[in-house]
Amino acid sequence: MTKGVKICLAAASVIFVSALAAMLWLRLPSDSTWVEITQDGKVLYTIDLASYDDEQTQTIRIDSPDGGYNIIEIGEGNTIRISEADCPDKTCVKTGALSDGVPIVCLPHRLIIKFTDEPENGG
Amino acid sequence: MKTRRLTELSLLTAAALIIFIVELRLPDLSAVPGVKLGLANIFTVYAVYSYRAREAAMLLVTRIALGAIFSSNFSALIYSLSGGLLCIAGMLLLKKVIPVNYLWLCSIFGAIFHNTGQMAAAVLLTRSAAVLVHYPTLIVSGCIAGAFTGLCAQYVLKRLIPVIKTDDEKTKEKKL
Repeated sequence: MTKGVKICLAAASVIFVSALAAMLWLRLPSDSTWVEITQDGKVLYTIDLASYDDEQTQTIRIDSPDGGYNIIEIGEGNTIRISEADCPDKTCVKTGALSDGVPIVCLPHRLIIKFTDEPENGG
Repeated sequence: MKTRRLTELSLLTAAALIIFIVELRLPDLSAVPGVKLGLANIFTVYAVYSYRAREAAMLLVTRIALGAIFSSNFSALIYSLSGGLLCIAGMLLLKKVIPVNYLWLCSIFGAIFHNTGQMAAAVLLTRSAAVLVHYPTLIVSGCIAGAFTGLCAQYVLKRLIPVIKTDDEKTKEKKL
């Protein structure tokens, strides 16, 4: 084993371990109830999930500038998820409900749903 | 380029493409986009170590372009292209430091470079850093998948090198 290989092996181990740590840290459940919906980097909605009726389901339709759409569903137990999309991969739908630091992302429509801090002026 | 070399590369591209398409049909391993084995990269890593830089890059770009056409998933093209190009550039550089016996290590770095390129493209396209939360997950899965594909390529290479050598010797003898 040459010196170069040793350095590379050490670098790979460090990257792997730190990525693993970051991954687990992001999986910690979020205690915020505020959610931010952004598209193309612009904030479309900032909503408080706690202010929604627990038993009713409400949907928001978001049309992408490119012609596609996503339907966001705020449902039972104040969960938020993308229930429908016309993108080919449906990754955002498969992600399911937002529960932790990992946001729901729809790359084809550049749409992101994530937990955010409570706005200081009360929204 | 010699006809023989061209044929070999075409054959490798075709094989990589088949594996790529078969893998697409498998169910997703995770909800995080981009988490997959990347079996087609066995051929990429193999080509990096047994062909010239130009030839390995050609194989990869052809496979990505044809893969996008056959899977009709063009929105993924920009991610696989940015990831693939960074991956192959990084591996071609690391090839000078890492010998064939540690090919799997080079492949791990290839995966890290690939995910970095994909992430850079995603950040630029979404104009938001939010997609970066997938970065650690991609790196972890990429390291595992990279080690696996690298080991596959390493075993193939070890078994193929004697065959290729004897072939070359035979052609030399014929020429003599």
